[in-house]
Amino acid sequence: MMKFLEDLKKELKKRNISDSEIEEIIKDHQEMIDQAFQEGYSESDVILRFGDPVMLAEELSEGSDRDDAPRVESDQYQVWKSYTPNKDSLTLVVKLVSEDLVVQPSTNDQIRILYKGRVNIEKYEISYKNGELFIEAPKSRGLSFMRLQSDEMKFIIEVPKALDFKECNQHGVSSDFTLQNLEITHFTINTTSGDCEIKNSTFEDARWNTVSGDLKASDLSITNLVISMVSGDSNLKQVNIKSDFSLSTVSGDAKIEDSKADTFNMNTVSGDLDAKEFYIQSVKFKSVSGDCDIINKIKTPINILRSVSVSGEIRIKS
Amino acid sequence: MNAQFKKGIIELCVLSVLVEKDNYGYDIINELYNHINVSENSIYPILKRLTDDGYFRTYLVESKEGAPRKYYQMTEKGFIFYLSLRDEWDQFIGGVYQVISKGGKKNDEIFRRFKERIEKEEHK
Repeated sequence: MMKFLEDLKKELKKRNISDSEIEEIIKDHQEMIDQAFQEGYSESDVILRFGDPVMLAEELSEGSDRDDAPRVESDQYQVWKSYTPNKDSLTLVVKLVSEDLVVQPSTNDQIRILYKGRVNIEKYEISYKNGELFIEAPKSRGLSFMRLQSDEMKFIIEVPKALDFKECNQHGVSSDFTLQNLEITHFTINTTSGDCEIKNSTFEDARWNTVSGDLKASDLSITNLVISMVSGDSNLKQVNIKSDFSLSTVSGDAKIEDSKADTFNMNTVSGDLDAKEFYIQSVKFKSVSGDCDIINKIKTPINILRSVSVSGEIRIKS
Repeated sequence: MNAQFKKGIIELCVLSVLVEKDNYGYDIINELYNHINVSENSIYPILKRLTDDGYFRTYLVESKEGAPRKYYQMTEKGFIFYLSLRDEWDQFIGGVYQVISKGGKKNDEIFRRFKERIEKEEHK
C-alpha cells in the first residue's frame, strides 16, 4: 500500500472512527488513486492532489460524529428478520402491548428486526411488503397486567438512512418506546402507559398521544407538532418547531427548554407549563388551575392571542 | 475563505454534479477540480457525509481498467435537499450581488468616485 494510504489509515485510527468505516474510506481512496495513476499521474502528483492525510482524517472524523445519540447496542439481541428494501420509501406500523421498542438507523442497507426475550417470536405477526413494515404482538396473550416479568420482550428495528421514511405509526399499551437519529415525514405515537423518548430526529408532522406515559423529546426539528396527554408529563429540550405546536394535557406537567415554535397553543386542566428559553411568536393558553410560566433571557415580543385561566397564574416574561 | 462557507458551496457543487447523472468518486472530484480550485481532500469527506445522511446511495460497477468503481446516485431525499440548498444559494447570491453592484459595474467609474471622495476628505 502506498505511503499516503498508510498514513491516512494511521490518522483515522487515532480518531473515533469505526474499523469498518476506515476500511471503506481506504478502499474509496485506493480506487481514486488507481484511477489517477491510470491517467498518468505520478505518485508525487497524487500526494499533491490528495493533500495532507492529517487534514483529511480530521475532516472525516468531524463528519462521523454528527452529535448523533449513541446507538442502542444490539449485541445481546437476536436478529429475527433482515430485509433488503423493496421500495425507496418506508412505512412502519407497530402494534405492541408491553414490548419495549427502539427504532434507529441501521449500519448497513438492510432493514433489521432484532429481539430479546423469552416469548415465542413466531407468535408475532411480522411482515414487509411493498415498502411497508408491519409488526404486531400476538392477540391472545391474556390481559397485560397478568403477564409475568419473564415474558418481557424487547425489540430493535433498524432502518437504513437512505430510505425515505414516510410514515411511522406506533401503538403500544405499556410499551416503552425510543426513536432516535431518524428523519420521518409523518410520525404518530399512541400509547397508554408506556414512556416515550424521541431524540435527534427530524419530522414534518408529529402527533404524540399518551395517557399516563411520560414523554421526553430532545434535539428535534419538526414542522408541526401535536401532543396530547392525560396524566403523563412531557419534557422537551432543544426542539425546534417551524410552524404550529399544540399541547393539550389534563393533569400532566410540561417542561420546555431551549426550544422554538411559531405558534404555541396549550390547553390544560391542572397541568403546569414551565418553560425557559422557549422562543415563540404567538401563544394561546387556556387552563383551569394550571400555571403558565415562560421565562426567556433574550427579550423578544410574544404575541398573546389568548390567555385564560380560572385559578392558574400566567407569567410570560419575554 | 471561511471554512464553513466553503464547505456549503462544495456541498452544493457535489449535489449539482450528481443531479445530472450517477458518477464515481474520481470523476466527481475531477469535475469540480476543473472548475473550482479545491483539493480532493475537501470533496471526499462531503461526498461521504452526504451518502451517510442518505442523500446518495452507492453501487459498484465493474470496470475494464481494474477494480470495480463505486458509483454515487442521488436519492429522492438528496434531490429535495439539493433544491432547498440551491434556493438558499440563489437568494444569498442575489442579495450579495445587489450589495456589491450598488455603485455600478464599471471599475474606472467606481475608482473615479472613490478618488474624488478621498481627495475631498483630505482638503478638509
